[in-house]
Amino acid sequence: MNCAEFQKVLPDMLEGAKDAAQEAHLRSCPACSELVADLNFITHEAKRLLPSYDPHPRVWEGIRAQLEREGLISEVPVTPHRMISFSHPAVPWLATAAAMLLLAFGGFLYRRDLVSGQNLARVGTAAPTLDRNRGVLTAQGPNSEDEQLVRQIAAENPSLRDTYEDNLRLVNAYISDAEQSVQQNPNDEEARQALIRAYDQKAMVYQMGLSRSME
Amino acid sequence: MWSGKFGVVVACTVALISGVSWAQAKRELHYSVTSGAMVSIVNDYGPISVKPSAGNSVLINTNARSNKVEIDGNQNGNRIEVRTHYLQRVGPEEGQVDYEVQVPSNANLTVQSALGGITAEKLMGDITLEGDSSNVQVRDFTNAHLHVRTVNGPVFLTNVRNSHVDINSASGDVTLSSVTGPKVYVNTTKGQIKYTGDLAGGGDYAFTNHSGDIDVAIPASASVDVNARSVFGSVEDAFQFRPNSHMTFVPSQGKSFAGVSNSGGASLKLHSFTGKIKVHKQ
Repeated sequence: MNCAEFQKVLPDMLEGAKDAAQEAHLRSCPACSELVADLNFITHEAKRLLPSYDPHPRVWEGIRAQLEREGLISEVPVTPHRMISFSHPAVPWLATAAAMLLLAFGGFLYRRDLVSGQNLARVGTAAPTLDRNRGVLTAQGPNSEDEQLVRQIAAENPSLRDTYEDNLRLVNAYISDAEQSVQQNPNDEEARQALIRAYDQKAMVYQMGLSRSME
Repeated sequence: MWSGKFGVVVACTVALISGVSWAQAKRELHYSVTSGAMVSIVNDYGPISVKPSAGNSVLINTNARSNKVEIDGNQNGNRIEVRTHYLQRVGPEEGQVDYEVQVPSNANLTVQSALGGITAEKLMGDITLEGDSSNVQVRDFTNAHLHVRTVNGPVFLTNVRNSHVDINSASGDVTLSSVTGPKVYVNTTKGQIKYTGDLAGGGDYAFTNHSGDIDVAIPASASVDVNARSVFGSVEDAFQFRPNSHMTFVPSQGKSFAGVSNSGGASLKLHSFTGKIKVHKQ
């Protein structure tokens, strides 16, 4: 079994189905082993953060649409939880970054609704990164989620308000430029990597802000 | 007569109360651990300094600047968590607690702060340093796994050898001096990245950002395979590398270049959108 074959069955494997060939590949391939470890970590952290929260299918739809728009995946008929094609080596990492970002958004909204006493079920339909007009994940900003995060941080620690406000604006510009670069050069591997790094930056800012507001 | 005695009593009382308050402000925590201990420190305001301890002990000295905070320390097996607990809403001055931490050099450490500076030296475990606006300084690490994350705090690494380094900052400048390892990654949005060193060990180095400048100074003896691109900014090959025979892109004058020096042992990837990238000799 090679890496491409392994990644095709990865979603099933993560749900618990694992045969001898997959286990053998996992033992022999550091890259796939590291990928599985990362995905397991995300799954574990997601359960810890949001024990009762499962993203709405529109969130997955948004990720897929965004990845297609960026030219990182081609359209394939799949079920909602298996929408990301792993045919390109960069895609799992973008998916990881996007998932982390979503978890951050989800965790933030979860926290926000807990604080405001709103119905948790509504969080699942909020699709926080979904641009309803375009039907894709939006990275442009500032957006309402950014503003909510800044307000939450300011409530906990007013001295950090400007820091987060300014830096969310910066990372949104980073993502915007990286998106344009991928659109202009869809086959440019470096452009894709830059987009992943831009999303990583936003995920980092959200994670740090969330960890602060949850203390 | 009586007023004199009364004055002495008042003075003694004040001194006694001050002494009690001072004793409460300073606290020393001591834990025994085994190899590979996990130590976590959370303190929003005030500097945190981490150094290696003798033997398998964790020693934490704290100094609180007000009585509106307390220090919570907890040990579960080989895992220690110490955090500043705010008894009421405080600002950076009232909430300030200074930490002096000693951990075994092979301990795994996580430090989180908001505004306080973080300094760590002579460690070799898995180290995570996070500070929103913190100034992060790392010195004399060997064989470590180092993760640094800041929002706008600057990051300084000096003499970090054979370590896996991963630095992310949204707008903090990152300065690396004599940093080497199998993987050395720096990613910022606006922060400038400055590297001075020899890229020894044939590692994988990647410095990327959106708008900050990237400056790399290496000796003529450095063995490196470099690939530099700035989408809207500029690049300058002041080192004068040999042309690379296996470029993965078509170089554009002033926007990108690729080249090799000596045997090309280390991989150096530099990427920016609007920043100026410059590679030159030390």
